[in-house]
Amino acid sequence: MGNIIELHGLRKTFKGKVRAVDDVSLNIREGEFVTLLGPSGCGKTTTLRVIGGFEEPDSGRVVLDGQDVTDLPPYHRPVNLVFQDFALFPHMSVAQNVGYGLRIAGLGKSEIAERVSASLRMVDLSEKAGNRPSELSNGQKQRVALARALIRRPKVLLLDEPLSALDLKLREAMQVELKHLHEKLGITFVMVTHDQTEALVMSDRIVVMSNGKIIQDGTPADLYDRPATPYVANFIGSSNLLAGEVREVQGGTLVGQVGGQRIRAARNGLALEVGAAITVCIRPEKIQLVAPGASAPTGFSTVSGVVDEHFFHGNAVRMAVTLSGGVTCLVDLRLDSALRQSSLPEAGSSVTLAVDPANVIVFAARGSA
Amino acid sequence: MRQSQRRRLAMFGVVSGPLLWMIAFLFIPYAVMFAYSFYSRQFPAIIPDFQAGNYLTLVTDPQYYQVLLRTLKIAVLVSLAALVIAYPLTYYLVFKIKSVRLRSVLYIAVIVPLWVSYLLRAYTWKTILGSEGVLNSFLIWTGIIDEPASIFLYSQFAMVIVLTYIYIPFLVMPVYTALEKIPRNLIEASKDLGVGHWQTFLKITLPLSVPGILAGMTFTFCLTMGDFVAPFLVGGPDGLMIANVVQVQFGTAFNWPLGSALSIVMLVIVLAIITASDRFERAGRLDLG
Amino acid sequence: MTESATTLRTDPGNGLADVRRWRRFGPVKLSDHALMLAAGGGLLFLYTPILVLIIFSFNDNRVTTLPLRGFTLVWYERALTNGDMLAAILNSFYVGISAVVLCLLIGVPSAFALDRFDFPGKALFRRFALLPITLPGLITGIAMLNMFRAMGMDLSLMTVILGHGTALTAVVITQVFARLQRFNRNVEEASSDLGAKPWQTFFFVTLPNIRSAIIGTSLLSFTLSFDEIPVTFFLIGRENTLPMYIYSTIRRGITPEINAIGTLIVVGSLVLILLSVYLLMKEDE
Repeated sequence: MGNIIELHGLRKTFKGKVRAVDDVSLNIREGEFVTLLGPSGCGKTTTLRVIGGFEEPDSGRVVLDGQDVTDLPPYHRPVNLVFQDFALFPHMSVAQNVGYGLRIAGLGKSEIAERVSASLRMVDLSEKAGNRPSELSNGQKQRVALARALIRRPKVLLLDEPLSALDLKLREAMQVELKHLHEKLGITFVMVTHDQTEALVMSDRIVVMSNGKIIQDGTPADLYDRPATPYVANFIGSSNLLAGEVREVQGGTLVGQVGGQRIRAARNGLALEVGAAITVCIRPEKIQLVAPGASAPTGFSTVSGVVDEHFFHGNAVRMAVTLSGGVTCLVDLRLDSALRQSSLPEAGSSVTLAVDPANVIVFAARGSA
Repeated sequence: MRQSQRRRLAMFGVVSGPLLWMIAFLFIPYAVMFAYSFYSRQFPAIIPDFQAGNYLTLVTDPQYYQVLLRTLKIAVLVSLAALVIAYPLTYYLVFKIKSVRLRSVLYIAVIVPLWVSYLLRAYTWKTILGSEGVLNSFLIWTGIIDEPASIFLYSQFAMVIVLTYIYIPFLVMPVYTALEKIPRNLIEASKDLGVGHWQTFLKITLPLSVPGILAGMTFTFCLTMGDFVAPFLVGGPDGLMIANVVQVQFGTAFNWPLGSALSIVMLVIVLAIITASDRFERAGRLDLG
Repeated sequence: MTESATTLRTDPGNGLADVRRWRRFGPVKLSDHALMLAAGGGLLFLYTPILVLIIFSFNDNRVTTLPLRGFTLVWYERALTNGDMLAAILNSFYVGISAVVLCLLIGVPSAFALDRFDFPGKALFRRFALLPITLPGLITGIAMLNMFRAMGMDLSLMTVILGHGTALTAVVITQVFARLQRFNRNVEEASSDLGAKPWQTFFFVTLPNIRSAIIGTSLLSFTLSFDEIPVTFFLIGRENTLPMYIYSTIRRGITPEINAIGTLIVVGSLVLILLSVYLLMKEDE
């Protein structure tokens, strides 16, 4: 399975604005589910639209399935886009919307009708075939948009923030449905979203973007456990980002000083000298509470602090702890049969926190991304 | 880049036709008229020339500048009168009619006469105001007067009435748009703070409706300036307006250069008014491009 | 207790709240009535002349005096058998339809150009395109007359059509432009995405969505052309349009047939206008 999409050095600047897409190069393999993830303005939507043919790059090339399509308009590309606001034709019925692509392709009426009803069955909207888009809910509109895009059997399906118009429960259901659809159809999906949960749940691979550039590209687990920059660390999941400096360097680990206390961390292959400024990144759920009188697991780093407050999250409690030196640290503790909120240390009490050095990520302190 | 080339080609195809038309039928005619205004007329011929004699005549000959001043006066009167009648009507529609349906129906009822034969609507006033007309016969019938009064028709008074009547809908439209745009909670907040009904109107509603008022009055003023039908129908000898003078220059007087000069003067006045009111205007007019 | 007090204040449909308002602003009731009177008066003023026209077209009297004499259709008879007038009406239809076609051919591309493209001279183009509806028609008429004269062209119905086309294009541009601005262009991209070439997108997606605006504005332009006077006055040749015919008839004196034909025109225009307003107000198909 080769690359179905290759982007080479794409650049795009809109009139007067900063570079929307700044030297983006990316390979996507056939059958992958790739998500472009980032905040608004990071260039992900523009990149998607360049793939679809709706924006022309100032420089760079787009190669689809071995063919250079950079100069080709959307109607000559074997990709289809599901728009963020669905873009259903308001003057046509659902069936006519779905069948539009086939009608343009010149297929016969009976064949169109057959494929349209099969499509509508697939997205579970057969009984709405004669309705107008204005009569549908957002969830239904989205399914029509999907059916309409997929009926032409494109090699790549592009999705522009497909779930942003849906409410929470529907969104969670659609995340699963889209993932199943991808597995069933076997075609390549390229999705754009600012919601990192969606990206983590649905994608084979995530491409994090910021200010028009690709920051990191990897599997969800890669990005979560080994973020390349503090920006990625805080964009995907939450992170404690603590400023500090290097105290010791010993083989595969180093010891950093944060807020007056020492933390042992894995080195991540960074070449750092003693005294260098660093940002220490620890995910809240990786921090453990050491019970008073007990000792931390062997090899774990420990720090002490004072509890500020608790935030109740239903299945977990997030504690804000102030370490010596004024640094605040968030700790996520899962509430289960063994642990209840009432047994947690109250505000004002001293606590000892422990963390496995392998879960402590260190970045050389530079900018934020 | 072929896509942007394609787009440029499409643009050329779409724009070129209208552009050529505009040049041929708007730009060039105005240019020709401007040129004509400098020609001189040596009876019976019209000689291409470049002299400002026509403009001089307009300024020095009372026959012309008096008519011009009279026209300006009537245009102002009409704009004000139409405003006085249109504003309360519009205000009532926007603020006192709660049902949106009823409001739309009434609004349309006000606007519709606008599109119904201007000539006929002006003509009806002839039948109403004439000495053998409805008004006089009504007054005689009810015994208020004994003889038909001839002061109603063929006077500047009659012209102002007719033109006001014609242009009321022109004022209702932008004022309606402007008043509708005023957020209701501004007025409610004002009343909430204890400000009286009348004060609220003076300090909030009225100022916010000024753009609409300006738009409507400008429109009315400019169109009244160029009207020759009303003077013809009900103006009488005393009610000649500048448009009629222009009419004559292109008709029996056969003084096209002078007529063109007059038209240019009208054009300049109208454009000046429009530009001036554009500066103050923010809402109420359709903005293109 | 406090909750009900708040609902009292902000609930518009609550009668008690109205009483509170009245108690605070006593004179409101009086000025409300005065306002209603002014509004009613205004509406009456607007419609009385039209009513006079209609009533007297059926009145059995040569002059328009009160009291009314009797019901008759004789003026209608005379009006409808008047050969000159019928010829003028036919000419008006011919001119009107031709002018509308012209306006659409120029106006629709203009609206698209203003909505979608940036081209050199766009601001000037916009100004000129809208000029004819802001300037008195007289000026447009004279300007074009001068040009035709300079070109050595004779005046005829054709010159009238050209004049109307130029003057009324602005109406088409404003209406179609407004519709285009409300139009969500995403559906055009979707159409292109699904394989449609630009002309296909235009015919299958764009046009159907602005159709009501085009029809509405066509009806409006037709009505305006049918009644057009200032531009027509200067550009007409030997054949008359209806307004020109009426104009010259009035010059000779009031005849009751004018009331009859006037009523017919009023009713006809009303129907056309209401139809076009209905269509122009439709949001989506």
